[in-house]
Amino acid sequence: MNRRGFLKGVAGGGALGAVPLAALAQSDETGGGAGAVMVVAQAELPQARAIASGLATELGVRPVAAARRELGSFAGVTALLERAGRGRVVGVMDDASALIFQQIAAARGAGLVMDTYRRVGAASLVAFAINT
Amino acid sequence: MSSKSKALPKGISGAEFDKVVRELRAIVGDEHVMVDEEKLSAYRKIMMPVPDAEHELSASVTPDGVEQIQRIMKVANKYRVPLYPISTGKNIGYGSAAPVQRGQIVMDLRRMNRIIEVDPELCTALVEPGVTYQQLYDYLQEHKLPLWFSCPAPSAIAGPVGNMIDRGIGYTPYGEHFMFSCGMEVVLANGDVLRTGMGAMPNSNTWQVFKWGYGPTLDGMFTQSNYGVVTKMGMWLMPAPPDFRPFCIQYPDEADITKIVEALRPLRIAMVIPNAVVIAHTLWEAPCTPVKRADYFTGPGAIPDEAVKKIQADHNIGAWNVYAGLYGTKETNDANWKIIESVAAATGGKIITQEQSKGSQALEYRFDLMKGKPNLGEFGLYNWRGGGGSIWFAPVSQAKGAETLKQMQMAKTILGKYGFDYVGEFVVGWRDMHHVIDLLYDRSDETQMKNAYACYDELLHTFAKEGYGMYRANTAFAEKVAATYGPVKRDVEKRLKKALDPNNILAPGRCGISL
Repeated sequence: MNRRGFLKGVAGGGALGAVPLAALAQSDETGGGAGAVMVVAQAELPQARAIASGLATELGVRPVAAARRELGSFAGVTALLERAGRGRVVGVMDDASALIFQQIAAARGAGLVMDTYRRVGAASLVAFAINT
Repeated sequence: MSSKSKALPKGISGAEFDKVVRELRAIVGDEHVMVDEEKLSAYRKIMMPVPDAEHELSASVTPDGVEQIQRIMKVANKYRVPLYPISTGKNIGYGSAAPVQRGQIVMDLRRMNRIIEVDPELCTALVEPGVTYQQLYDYLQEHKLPLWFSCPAPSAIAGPVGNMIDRGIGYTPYGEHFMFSCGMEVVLANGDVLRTGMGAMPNSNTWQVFKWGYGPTLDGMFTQSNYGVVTKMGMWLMPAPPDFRPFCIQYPDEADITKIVEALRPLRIAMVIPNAVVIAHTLWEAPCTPVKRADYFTGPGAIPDEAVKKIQADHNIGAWNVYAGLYGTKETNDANWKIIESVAAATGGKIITQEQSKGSQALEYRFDLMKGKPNLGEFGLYNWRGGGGSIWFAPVSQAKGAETLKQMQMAKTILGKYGFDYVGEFVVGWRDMHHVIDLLYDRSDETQMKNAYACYDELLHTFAKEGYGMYRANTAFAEKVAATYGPVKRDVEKRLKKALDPNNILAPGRCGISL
């Protein structure tokens, strides 16, 4: 599956039904974000980096590459969320990292906009968007 | 409009639900009652092999204290609307934060996050349900208190109250969490506030030091049940030992489990090894190392034994990996270390010390948990198969080698039949073993979803037939697990429910208890 196909799939497979790709960047009507979008990819996964890079380009931001150790620690994820401030975080990472990220974000009151699982070759990747 | 909520509580109309939401908002404030899909998404995410819709919530409410909970109970009783209390909502693999039945209102206690007291002389703490282990750890570090707690693997993001209420376990000498709790405060369905044990007496200063009180000890009733909302919990903290010596002993064959258990049991009972020992199978260690399953097997079905042996050889992982520790002074640990060495030698085990473990992710996260240092190392399990599916199957066995081997073989056979791997470990209590198996599957694959449900069902009933009961269970199987414990127990539980919560407002269905 190529990157654009995956992006389309990520956008279309969200928990809330079809979500246009552009919606990944939009803050919600209640001002849940200042419009800022942070795209985070797991540094060790080339597929995640490629997808995040494409997403980031389309959203006009620079992607953040976060190491597995960082994504697997409370302090690391908290620091990323602090850096994101109020806005939207789009993540592309492995299952464990995605679960940790979402759980820590949820404890801080973040809302999960979409969340989708994809197989890219033998790897399982999760792409998600949260409003912080 | 809240009446457009996807999942209204049973028997409640849209108009009535709107009234409930308005009245709850009047108690806690608009921002602390949520009905929007996006805000509820965090509570909705489950890993169980059932449709999300079965555990869909209607709303969430987040009170800030006992007084607000009492007022919420009044509303719930008035409209007979069910509440599902959660503390940190991290019961991952057992139902997460989603309610046990569709339509319940999740009552999220995370705003109640005070560490009320830590007594460094008596080594006790009194905490609220929203306190996380990370928060408590940071508190102890900031105040330079040489005290350790015991935490489960999700540690950093989970909380002591929620874990104790579900009778979860950890890996230090205080690893049986309910045993090392002392005193609770509980808001009952009628709004009364009960303090258990010595806390029932006004001005008591022994609430956190003496568990039993006078007359029947009620604490157990509020664990794995729906008889009240726990709003404070006392817990015992362990003084940091002068010398902590964690170690791992690796064994080469699955059949070694019998001699491992026979050798460890007397050491546990005599408290030579004082902590809750973990005996982890290769396939539990591998994802946490981390090893990619796809590097060894991509075919259908369970991973073959040959591939498991290759993982062992390539990554220096035992068929069984025993994690234990000595907690004492240098003198006592030196003496006990000789016992450990002779036991390992006699049973064919290879010892790995802390010094030798440097750089090993799997050993590091285990050694940290054994001293109550929160980390998230075990989440690596979720990368084993990917796809977000996980349910814990957790029967109890005697701490006897023959029993553990039998259970392991039974589980492996059934899991294999449905195409799943045996990702299991035994946690040694004193005379019991918690046999914990993570049934990992791809939740985005319909066939695997169906198979995972059928597999758990067969595991449950096959084990029950042999007299092996669950120590803990996920919410999708609450009713079925409860049924394995027989009608008399269930009848008593129902009568207690009728007495304490006649309108059935507190988590009906939790652990199979409802009116």
